[in-house]
Amino acid sequence: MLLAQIQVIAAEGPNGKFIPSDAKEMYWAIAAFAVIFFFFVKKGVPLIREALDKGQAAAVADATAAEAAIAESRAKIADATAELGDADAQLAQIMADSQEAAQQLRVDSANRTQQLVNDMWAKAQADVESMKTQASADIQAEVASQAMGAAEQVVRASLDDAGQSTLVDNYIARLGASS
Amino acid sequence: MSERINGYADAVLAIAHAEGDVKGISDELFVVGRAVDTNDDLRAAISDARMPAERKIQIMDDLLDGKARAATKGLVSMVVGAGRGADLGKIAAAVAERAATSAGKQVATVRSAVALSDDQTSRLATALAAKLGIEVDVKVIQDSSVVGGLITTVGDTVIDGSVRTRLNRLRESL
Repeated sequence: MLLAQIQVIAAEGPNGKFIPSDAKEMYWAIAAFAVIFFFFVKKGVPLIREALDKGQAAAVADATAAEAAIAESRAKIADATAELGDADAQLAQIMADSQEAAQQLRVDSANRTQQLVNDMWAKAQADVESMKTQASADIQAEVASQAMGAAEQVVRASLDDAGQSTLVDNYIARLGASS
Repeated sequence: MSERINGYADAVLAIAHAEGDVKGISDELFVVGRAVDTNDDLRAAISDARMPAERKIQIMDDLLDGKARAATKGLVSMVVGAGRGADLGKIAAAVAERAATSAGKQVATVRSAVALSDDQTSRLATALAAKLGIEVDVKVIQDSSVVGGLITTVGDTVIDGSVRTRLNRLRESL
């Protein structure tokens, strides 16, 4: 039908349009087109298909590579996240250790300070007791010395020749009695 | 006791024997020896190497003039003149010990604040002999630090009946 219409138009002569007025030219054109189309289908299409296949394969490869890269990136992100998590955990552990060490340090320091205070208190008490004892002994010694000095003076004053002689006689009498 | 002290004691005792008055000379020497031992100035004077021997002898002669036998004074002069004045006390003690031993006795050193009468000395010697079972030759040392009573030493035995010791006990009890 279309061919018939083309033939009619061609029979009408030059019409200022692209369709040639001569039907033969049109036939040749169609034949040429058919030949070209044939070669196109025979050679061009496989080439195009091959190119398309190659492009598709490349696209698939690219997509695969991209997915691999994405997977790798995700793995790296996961690793980094894990490492970050580990870092957080380590940081938390360090903080906990630091707090524990600080607490232990406070406790130790408090204990040492308390021990120091206790020792100083005990030493002060011992010193006070020692001073009290020494002072008491000094007072006793001084009192004894004063009392003895006074007693000796009284005895010497009261011992006249008769008293001395009596003491000697008593000594001799006791000596004789004990023999 | 050193050999020198023993030698001087033997010499003094021999002279005392020769004089025939061992106890008298021994007693007087004992008193002189005690005086030298207890008087620092006297001991320093008779042991001063710079002082001539004649001067030292003169000091002792003046000290004993009219108070001791001539033999005693001579023996003291001999010891002091030989430069052994500082040892006079030890020599006198050794002489007393030898004299007592030769008489079958032991020296009883008695410290007293006052001098003892002859009667007291005799009764004391009798009481000590009865108590210790040995004859004793009593040598009295006057020592005011005793205050009263007596302290008798015979060998290693001490019989203390002094007021000083009683006062010391009282001090300790206080």
